[in-house]
Amino acid sequence: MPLPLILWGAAALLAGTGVVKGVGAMSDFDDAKKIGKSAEKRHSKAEAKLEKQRVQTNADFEKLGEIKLSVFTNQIKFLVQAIKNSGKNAQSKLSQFNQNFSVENLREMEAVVLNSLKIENGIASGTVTGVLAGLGAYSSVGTLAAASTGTAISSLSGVAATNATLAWLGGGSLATGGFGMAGGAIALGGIVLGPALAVGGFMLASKAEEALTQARKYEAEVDIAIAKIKASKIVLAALSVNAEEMAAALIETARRFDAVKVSDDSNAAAFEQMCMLGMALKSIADTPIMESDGTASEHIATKISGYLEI
Amino acid sequence: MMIKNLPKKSPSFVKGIPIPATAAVDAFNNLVNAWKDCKNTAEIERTKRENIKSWRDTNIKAIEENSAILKIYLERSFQERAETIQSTFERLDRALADENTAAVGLMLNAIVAIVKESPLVQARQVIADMNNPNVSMIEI
Repeated sequence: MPLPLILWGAAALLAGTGVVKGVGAMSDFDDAKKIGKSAEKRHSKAEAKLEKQRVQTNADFEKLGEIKLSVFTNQIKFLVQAIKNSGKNAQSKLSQFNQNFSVENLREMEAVVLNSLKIENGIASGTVTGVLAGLGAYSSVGTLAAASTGTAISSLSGVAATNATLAWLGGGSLATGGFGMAGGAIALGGIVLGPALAVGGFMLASKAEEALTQARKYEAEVDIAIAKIKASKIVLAALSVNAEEMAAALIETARRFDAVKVSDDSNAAAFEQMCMLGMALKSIADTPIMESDGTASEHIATKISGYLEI
Repeated sequence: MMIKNLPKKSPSFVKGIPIPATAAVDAFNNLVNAWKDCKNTAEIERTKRENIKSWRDTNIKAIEENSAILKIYLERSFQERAETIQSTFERLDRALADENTAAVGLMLNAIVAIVKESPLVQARQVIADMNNPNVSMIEI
């Protein structure tokens, strides 16, 4: 049976369409690749900006750590000595007006001062590094007092050396957008290259459509990750402002402490004022901006939490 | 992409080969099926891409809106705190000058309380809500 002429015509037309589709598919594959590459580039840029802010925030924590250390080695050291100079009577009077004050407090403050001095000397001689950011970010009194229970200053430096902001951000999981960028790129590459060599025009076009969808999905995930990175930058900037605020409060309180300080309780009113200012300094210095164990990371580390079924 | 080397006519030897009718029909059917599949796939993929776009847009809009709220909230909170801390220090200075121990204690407690109550604590909740797909509205 001879094939009807009309079918030959249709076949020729379809075959021609297939070839055209195949040619179009190559352009779609190129588009898919470009979409993926452009998304990766944008993500890298957003990451770099976040890193810049993170470095700045860490520097602000270091400055705050420096001020805390200075408060311990100057004002608190002076306060401890003045209380000692004043004898037990002054200590019991102090515990009457300030319920938080006790002999244990004095011992703790002594330990804090001692360890602060060791750290200050260590920093000066270069044997202790990376402590300041941790001191700025975390509860410094607890950290410094703990060192008296047998923890070597060098190991303290190791704990505090943890990059404060990175720990808070969950070890950089945010920086990678919470999903593998490289993985996305490889998956895309496989789809693009694999079938392209083996199939005809129509199949190639189908695969190109799928590749385009994958590229758009990847692009969407990256765009969402970038939006979350921008939100994280806001929080990092706020952490910096918080560190600056605390540093200013410490400096202002320390200035007033220095203005009223007396070396014993012979001037009862001045002694009392100095003790109050000293305890306030200690309380402010003991306020953590973030949790040292990085518990805040669960809140800040962004995940691609939306659910997409394609 | 240009295909340069395709011949305009079939080579002469192709004309000489008889094509069985069933094979020709099969080939034709294959071509039709491939065309249909291609058309279907294109439609399905187009729909998927539209879904992806709306998924992306919805997520980004929510994140951007929440970020804007967070930014304003943090900026205003810190600004308000700075003003309160400054005025409390001024009152502390007056109390110190007057040797008013009770007022000194009050002012210092106020400063310590402000410093301890960081707006970032509330911000954490806002961020947690941002990452919670079940929360559609964030109130501050």
